[in-house]
Amino acid sequence: MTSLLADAEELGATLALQCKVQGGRVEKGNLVLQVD
Amino acid sequence: MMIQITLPCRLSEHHIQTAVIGAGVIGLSEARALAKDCRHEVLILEQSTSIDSGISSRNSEVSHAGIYYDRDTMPLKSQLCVNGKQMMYNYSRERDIPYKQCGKLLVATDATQRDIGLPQLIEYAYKNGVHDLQLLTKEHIAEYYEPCVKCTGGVLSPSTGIVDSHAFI
Repeated sequence: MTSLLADAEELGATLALQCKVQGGRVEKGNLVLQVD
Repeated sequence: MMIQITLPCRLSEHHIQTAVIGAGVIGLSEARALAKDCRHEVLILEQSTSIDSGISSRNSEVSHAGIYYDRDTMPLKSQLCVNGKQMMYNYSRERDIPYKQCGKLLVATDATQRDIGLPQLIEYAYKNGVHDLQLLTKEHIAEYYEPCVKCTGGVLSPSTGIVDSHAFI
């Protein structure tokens, strides 16, 4: 049995737990996220 | 501690290409699709300590047939519901994720629901391409489906089902 997460990770995606996105902004053409 | 993650809009080997916020069913599906179809480098950011603590695994786990949405006023939602139902069944079957296309019985509790509500559901369903609904009398329901239910009539939706959401995500 495989799941969506296993599928995504097998394809190279990475899961980061306990990472709360506090905000974000555009800076010099990039998107900058603030993660707590 | 505050961490800044820079996500460039242009391709670069030194930056995270794509961040997905939230590891629920939508976030994980997006991450999977971006990694698979677009070959993006994907980082999934989840605020909780596990992936199965949010609404994606705190629900009735029903895979809806697509009978509640009016095609005229909610065309995208109705289409996605019908298409998504089949995609979820296919995905679950291919990966041995527990699911059951058990059907659902919707009952009317008064004459108005029976004479107006149920036909309305059937009309919505038909417009959405769901042609398997069966209109049932209260006698039929009592004899063949649920003898204890008190109703004035009902509709059987055979394509409705349930899926193990924890296994799914």
